[in-house]
Amino acid sequence: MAKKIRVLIAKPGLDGHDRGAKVVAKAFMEAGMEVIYTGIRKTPEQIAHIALQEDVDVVGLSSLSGGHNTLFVDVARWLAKVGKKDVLLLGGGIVPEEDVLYLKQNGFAEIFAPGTDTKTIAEYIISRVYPKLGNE
Amino acid sequence: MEDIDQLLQKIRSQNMAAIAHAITLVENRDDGYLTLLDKLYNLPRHSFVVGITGAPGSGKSTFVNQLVPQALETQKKVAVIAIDPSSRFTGGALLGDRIRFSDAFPFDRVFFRSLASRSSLGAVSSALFSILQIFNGALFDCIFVESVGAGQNDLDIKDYVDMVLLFLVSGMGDEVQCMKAGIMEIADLFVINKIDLYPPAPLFLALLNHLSLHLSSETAQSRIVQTDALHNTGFTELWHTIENFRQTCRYQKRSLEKDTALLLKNEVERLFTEKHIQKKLQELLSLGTSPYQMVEKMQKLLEEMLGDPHD
Repeated sequence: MAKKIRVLIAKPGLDGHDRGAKVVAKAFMEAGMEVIYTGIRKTPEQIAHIALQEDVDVVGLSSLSGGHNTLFVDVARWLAKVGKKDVLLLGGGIVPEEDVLYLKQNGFAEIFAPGTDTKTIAEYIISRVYPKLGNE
Repeated sequence: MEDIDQLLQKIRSQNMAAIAHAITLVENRDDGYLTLLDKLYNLPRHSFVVGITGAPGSGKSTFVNQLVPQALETQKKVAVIAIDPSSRFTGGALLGDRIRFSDAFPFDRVFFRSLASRSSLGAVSSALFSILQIFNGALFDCIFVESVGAGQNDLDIKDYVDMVLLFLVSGMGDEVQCMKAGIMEIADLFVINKIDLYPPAPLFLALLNHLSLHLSSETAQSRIVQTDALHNTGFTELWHTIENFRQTCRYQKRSLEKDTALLLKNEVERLFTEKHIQKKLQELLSLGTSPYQMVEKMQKLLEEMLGDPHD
């Protein structure tokens, strides 16, 4: 039996636009993953604790508010602080290209821009997480 | 194989990361999970387990969110296990019960885990029994188990918990619905929710009539609570009722036989989703030309393995 990939989709900070997060969550479910959606307006600290308790393999953050440089990096710090190791950190939303590099230098494996096919993201996750889980 | 004794020790000392990891280990049946569960199973019972079931959208998650602060007043550690369905088509799941869960609870006292039902057929998760052993081993005082949105025949939660709360909303059928077999038979407490939206009187009276057939009118009344989760009406009363039940009835009786049967049932459900079993079933298709013939042949095969049922 292939082990399930567990993904946390979270929205940090004061940003109520979660259509994108929901679409991605549903797409990952359809790709066979177990997806936990936090709902909107979570703090980086909460997201880190939730990721720990849910023992997820992937944390995907969504932001359309422009606060990604602060909030996303804060989530990465809190994950380390609560002792949540070995997690694939992804971002999505309105993130200018010049910020992508900064986020990648701060713990993010990939940032997906608007218009990315959800299948592309799902395939990326599977290719990164399956070897870790020991799935073929 | 990782060091199971070390993991057990960490669970016992309430290390949240270890508890989270142990749940995954058990769900995925990773190396060492049986060794861990054997050790956990033999620990004394500590946790009081409350099952919360009812139709999708009847207010179970909102209710758990309101009840946790009540529980935290008297209980040190509270766990929530919230189960949502796995897709039969993709095997994936969207676990959305956290959306109703408040941000303000202390993470060192409240552990919330979302579970997918995986191969389980009865509105729970195939690993639920074992996950409860983990929380019991970590000395959680109270565990709320929120089932998958349940229908008339989804009774499995009864086998796992000490007390069942059945969520109902008025206006979903006549009195006969209250008299039917199935989920109405397993509730220790009937919670009529959303009383701000739907007048609860007809449902309350129907339930009372039905319960009064074999309970005193006073006892029957004590088994029904009316709540409005959105405005926090009826929750202090509800928690007192749960506390009262805990003190008088305490744990559901368990036995080696009962627990074995429960695990075996889960195992059979799981096996039928396994690829190699499905392949085996495909092979058996060559045995006959109609489904009835084939099932009869399979029955014979099983009987040969298990012995004659009439012996």
